[in-house]
Amino acid sequence: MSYNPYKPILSKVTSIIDETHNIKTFTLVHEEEFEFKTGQFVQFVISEVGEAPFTPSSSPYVKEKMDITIMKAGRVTNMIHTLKEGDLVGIRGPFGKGYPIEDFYGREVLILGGGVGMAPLRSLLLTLIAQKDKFKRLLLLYGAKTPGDIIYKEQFADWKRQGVEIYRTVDNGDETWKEKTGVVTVLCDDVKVGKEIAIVCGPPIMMRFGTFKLLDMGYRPENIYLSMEKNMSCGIGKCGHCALGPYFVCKDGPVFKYSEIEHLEDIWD
Amino acid sequence: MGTRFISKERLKEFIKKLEGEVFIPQKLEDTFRWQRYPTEFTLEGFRTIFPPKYFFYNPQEILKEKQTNKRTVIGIKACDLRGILFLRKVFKEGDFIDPFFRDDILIISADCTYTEKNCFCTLLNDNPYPEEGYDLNFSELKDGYLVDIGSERGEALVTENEIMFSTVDQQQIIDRDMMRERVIKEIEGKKIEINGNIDEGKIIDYINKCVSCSACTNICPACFCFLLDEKKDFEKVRYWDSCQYPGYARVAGGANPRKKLDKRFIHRIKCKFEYSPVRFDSRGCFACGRCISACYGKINFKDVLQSL
Ligand code: SF4
Ligand code: FES
Repeated sequence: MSYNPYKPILSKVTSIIDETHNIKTFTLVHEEEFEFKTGQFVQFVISEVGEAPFTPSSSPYVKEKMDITIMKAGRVTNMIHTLKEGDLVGIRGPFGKGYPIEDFYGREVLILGGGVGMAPLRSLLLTLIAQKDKFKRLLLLYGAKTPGDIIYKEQFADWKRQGVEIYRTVDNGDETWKEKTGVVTVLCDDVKVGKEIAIVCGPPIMMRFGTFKLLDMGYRPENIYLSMEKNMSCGIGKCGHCALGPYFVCKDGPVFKYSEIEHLEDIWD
Repeated sequence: MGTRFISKERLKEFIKKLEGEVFIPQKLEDTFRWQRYPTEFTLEGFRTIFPPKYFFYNPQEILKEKQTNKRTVIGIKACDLRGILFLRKVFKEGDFIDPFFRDDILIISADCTYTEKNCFCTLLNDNPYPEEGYDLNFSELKDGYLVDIGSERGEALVTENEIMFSTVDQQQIIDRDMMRERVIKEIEGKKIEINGNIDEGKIIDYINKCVSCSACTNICPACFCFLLDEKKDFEKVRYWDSCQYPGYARVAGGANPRKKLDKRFIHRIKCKFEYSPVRFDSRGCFACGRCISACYGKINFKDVLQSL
């Protein structure tokens, strides 16, 4: 029989990091070769339970292992959170189109991220950093609910050292928080930008306000890249679950230019 | 590839020669049902109660390599054949190929010789006879069938059984043309044209009768959506699914863009008439009218389309 796209490869959980009270990062070592492009997604399979789609959060240049950062949000993710080091899971994919990195060469790239949306953005950031001389400027604007909800806490300093300009905010600060407070769009007022490329990833409400803010600032719809979450199941454009207008997010996305989808209904739901 | 003639008697012999499982319509009252090797069968009339989709795309199946029997389906009508060709695009084209949708089935189609009240292919400018995608197509005449050869497989089958077939004369072709013209004229009504925005107001009374039972999508010869379920040892099972179920489009966080009945109903229309042409270069409705007979809310989908 020909290649079976429904069959996962096996992968071993080799480490688990608690990022926040409801977000964990799982490091997986696959039993077969596996490659992905940044922004593509995989299906994370728990035998007898189900599967759920995630975009890996590690660099695609690291082949021997892969990180996936997962927030508890339902039946499958709750189950994933009970995994222990050494457990075997399945991985299907990679699916969809990733970020068109080459199209960003020579330009200023602004990344707007919220909450667990930082997971795919970390993979993107690491990809950009690996070839940072190719870009005019890299900026990261990140927002979380509280300081405790910030993921990859230890890594921001390193990204800064690599030349990424970083601005952060939380909705509700505490006595330790010395940076900005307010929703992530408040950071946009603090930066002077050339309005070239913008990439947005986060919860739906944040994607919506983030995109509108970027448009207000003067970003063009075709230069705003959104990573869309839809009910992905098969991953291969057959099952119909991820329909977004005429697109199947699993194969035509998950990354879309805003100009490709702005005329569609219900993109933020 | 040419056209031959086969008599009604010879057809029975021909069918006995086919290897593997053979499915043919049987007439029961005024309906047609698929049967495996029936003693009595027919190629007359219109489409069967259930679409032949079932033979190609299993409603519930384990997605692992398995042995399949050779299979022939005889008597597929034009609308259903278009449905199969559509499903073939969905499953067998693109970056990923689905290995479980069957494209090894021998397809012997047949012209409609009369229609039923819900048939509306001509209102979508489709013809009530197959035009492509068959191995052999049968057009019923008084004493036998014209047999159009549509593929090398069909050709080989005719060659192997050459003795059962005869050449065709001009009168038989004329007879067929007349029959086709007659059947085309049986379907009357306003042509359906769906373009641009769907005005929900025009069809809201229909929409409000929908009970989200999914009868329409299950019985549709072209609906393809499915759900995956995870079994032991990373094995998957798939089930046909329906965009008409309230939970269908739900995402992990709980957001559900098509929670509302009207959104789902319109999604079905758009999927078939607006999105499928973009995705698969083909409309996703072939006017078989089954959803009209099946609808629990007694919604006449043809009327819905005509009102748009
Ligand atoms: S068959 Fe009728 S009632 Fe059932 S989901 Fe379809 S349109 Fe709604
Ligand atoms: S996830 Fe099945 S079509 Fe996109």
